[in-house]
Amino acid sequence: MVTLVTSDNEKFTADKEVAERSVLIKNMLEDVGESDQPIPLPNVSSSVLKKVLEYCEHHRGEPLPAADADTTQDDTRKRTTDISEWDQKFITVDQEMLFEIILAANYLDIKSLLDVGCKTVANMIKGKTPEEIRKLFNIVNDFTPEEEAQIKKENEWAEDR
Amino acid sequence: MEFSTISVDARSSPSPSLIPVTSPAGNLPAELLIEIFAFSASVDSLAPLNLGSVCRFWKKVVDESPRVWQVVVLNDKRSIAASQAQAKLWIRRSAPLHFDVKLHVENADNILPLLAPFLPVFHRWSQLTITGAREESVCLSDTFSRLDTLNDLSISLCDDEHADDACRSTFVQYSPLWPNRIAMNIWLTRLPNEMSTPLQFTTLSITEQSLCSTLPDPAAVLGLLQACPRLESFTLSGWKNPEVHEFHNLPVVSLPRLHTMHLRRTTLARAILSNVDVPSLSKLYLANLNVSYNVGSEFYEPGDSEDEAHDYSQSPWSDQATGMGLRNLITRCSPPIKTLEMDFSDMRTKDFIYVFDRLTQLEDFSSLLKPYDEAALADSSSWTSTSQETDHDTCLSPSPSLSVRLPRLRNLELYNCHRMSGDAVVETLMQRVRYTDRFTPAATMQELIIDDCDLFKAGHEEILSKEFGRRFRLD
Repeated sequence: MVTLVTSDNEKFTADKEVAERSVLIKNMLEDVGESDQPIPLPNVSSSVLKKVLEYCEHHRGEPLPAADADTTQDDTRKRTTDISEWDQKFITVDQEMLFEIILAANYLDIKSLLDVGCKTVANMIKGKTPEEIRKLFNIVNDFTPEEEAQIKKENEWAEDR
Repeated sequence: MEFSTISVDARSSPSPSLIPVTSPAGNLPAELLIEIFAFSASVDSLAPLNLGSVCRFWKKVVDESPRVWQVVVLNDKRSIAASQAQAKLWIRRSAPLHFDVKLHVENADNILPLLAPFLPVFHRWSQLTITGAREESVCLSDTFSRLDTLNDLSISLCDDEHADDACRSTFVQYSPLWPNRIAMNIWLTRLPNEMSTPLQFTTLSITEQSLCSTLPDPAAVLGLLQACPRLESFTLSGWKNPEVHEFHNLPVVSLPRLHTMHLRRTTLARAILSNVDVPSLSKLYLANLNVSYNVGSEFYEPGDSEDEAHDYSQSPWSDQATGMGLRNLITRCSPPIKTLEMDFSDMRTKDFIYVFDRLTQLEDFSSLLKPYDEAALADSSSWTSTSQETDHDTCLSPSPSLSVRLPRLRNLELYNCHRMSGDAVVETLMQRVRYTDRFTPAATMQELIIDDCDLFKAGHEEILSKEFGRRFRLD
C-alpha cells in the first residue's frame, strides 16, 4: 500500500498498482525504494485526489502508455474525442472540478485521465461561437474593437460556406 | 509527447495581465490549452479560428502552437476555394510538424481539388481519412517518407463513383519495379472545371473507364493540363464519344517540359493538339483515333479546305481532325518530334505531306494505314526526296539541291497495309535509302519493318532485302 498526502494534509492509502498509474508516483516510488514514507502531493487537494484514485481504481490493470510512446501513438489519441461510458459518467462534474482533475492528471502524469478531461472540454467547446465559449467558461473578451475587427477580417474567408 | 515551439511559458500559468478571467479555465497553462485545442481541432473544422477569437491569451496559444493545426478537417459543403484557403493556412501554421487530413465529401469529384494543396508538402502528410462518397483511411507517413517527389497522377473517369472502395487506394506503388515511386489515383465522374491550385505532377494519365454519361470536354482537359505546368508525360485514353464539343475559343496551354504524349480512342485529338504549346515534345503516340462520324464543329483554319486528293476514307472527319491537330501543333511550336506512332489514326494525304515536310527531327515512324493513306505514303513525294530538278537521278547525283523528307528517319514500321502496292513501296524506299546511304549515311534508315501487307510479295522482299540487308524485316 502507498500513502499519499494531499495539499490540505489529508492522507489516502491506495494499492501500489493503483497509485502507480500515475507516472509521477511510480517514479517517486522507484526513487525512494521500499519505504513506508507517505508521498506528499502539494498540488492536489483531497477532493480531487479522491476522484483521481476512483479513476485509477477503475482502470487498474489496463496497459499504461509506454514511457517512450512515439508521436504516432500520440496522434492516434488525438484523432477522436470519443469517451467511454464509464469515463463520461466519471467526468460529469462541475467545471471547477473538471479543470482541477485536468491539472491534477497533468501534474501526476496520468495520460489517459488527462485525455478524458481535455476531450470533455473539447466536446463542450464543439460547435460554439467565441462568444458562447466566453460565456461557458466565464472568460472576458479583452480584445479591443480594432483587434476584433482585424480578427474578423483575417477570418473572413472562412465565412464563405 | 511532442510539443510545439511556443513562446509563452508552457509550464506556468499565464500572467495575470493576459488572463481577464475568473473561471477555472483561466488557470490552465498553455501546455494544457494546447492539449484541449488539439482535440477540438480534430473534430471541428474551424476550431482554431474560433478558439483564437475568444481572448488574447487563447489567440496567442493558438497562433503559436503548430500542434493545434495538425488535423485538417475539410468537407465539400463549403466552397472549394474556402476549403483550399483553409488547407493552406493549416499547412502553414502546423509547420514543421506533420499533419492529418480528414475529408468528408458528398461528391467524390471534389477529392482532387480538396487534396491538391497538400501535395506539395506530402513529406509532412501523415494520415488521410476520406468519408462520405468514398471511404478510405490510410497511413501515409511510412510511404511518403521514402519519396523524393510525388510525380504521377492517374485520373479514372467513370460513372460509378460508388464502386467498391476496397479496390480503390488514393496512393499506390507505381510499379513493383519502382518501390519508391508512388502514384496518386483519383476517380471522377467529370473533370474539374478549374484547378486553382497548381499540381506539381510530371506524369498525368486520364482514362475513361467506361462510356461516361458526362464526357470529358476539351476545355476541362486543357484546364487540367494548365494546372500541371511541370508535366513531362500526358496520356488520354477515351471511349470515342460521339458528342460534338465546342472546340473554339479554347485556351492555349504551355507545357514547356512535356516530352511524351499519348492520345488513344479519343475525339478530342484536334482540340488538344491544336491548343498545346509543347516545344519539347519528342514522342507522340496516336492510337485508335479513327471514327466514322463527325467529331467536331465547323472549322475554317488554314488547311481545313476540302481534301483535294479525294482520298477514299471511312473516317473523313477524324482524318481531318487528326491532320489539322498535327498541323496546328507543328505551326504553333515546331516540336522536335523524334518518334511518331499512328495506329488506326489517319490523316488526309495533304496532312501527311504537310507533317512530313516539317518533322525534320523524326527518327521513328510507325503506322497502321488505311487504303488511301497507303496511297499517300507510297507516293514518292511523301517518302523520298523531293527534288527541285524533277528529272534528277537521286542515286547518282550529289547535288545539294535535293532535300529528303524526314531526313533523320531511321526506323520505319508499316503494318496491316493491305492495299499498299509492293512495287510502290520498293520503288520509293529504294530510291530514298540509296540516296541517304550515299549522301547522309549518318542519318540513313536503320530498320524497316513491313508487317502483314497483302500486296507485298516475295519478289518485293527479295529486292528490299538485297538493298537494305539486315536492316529489313518482313513480319
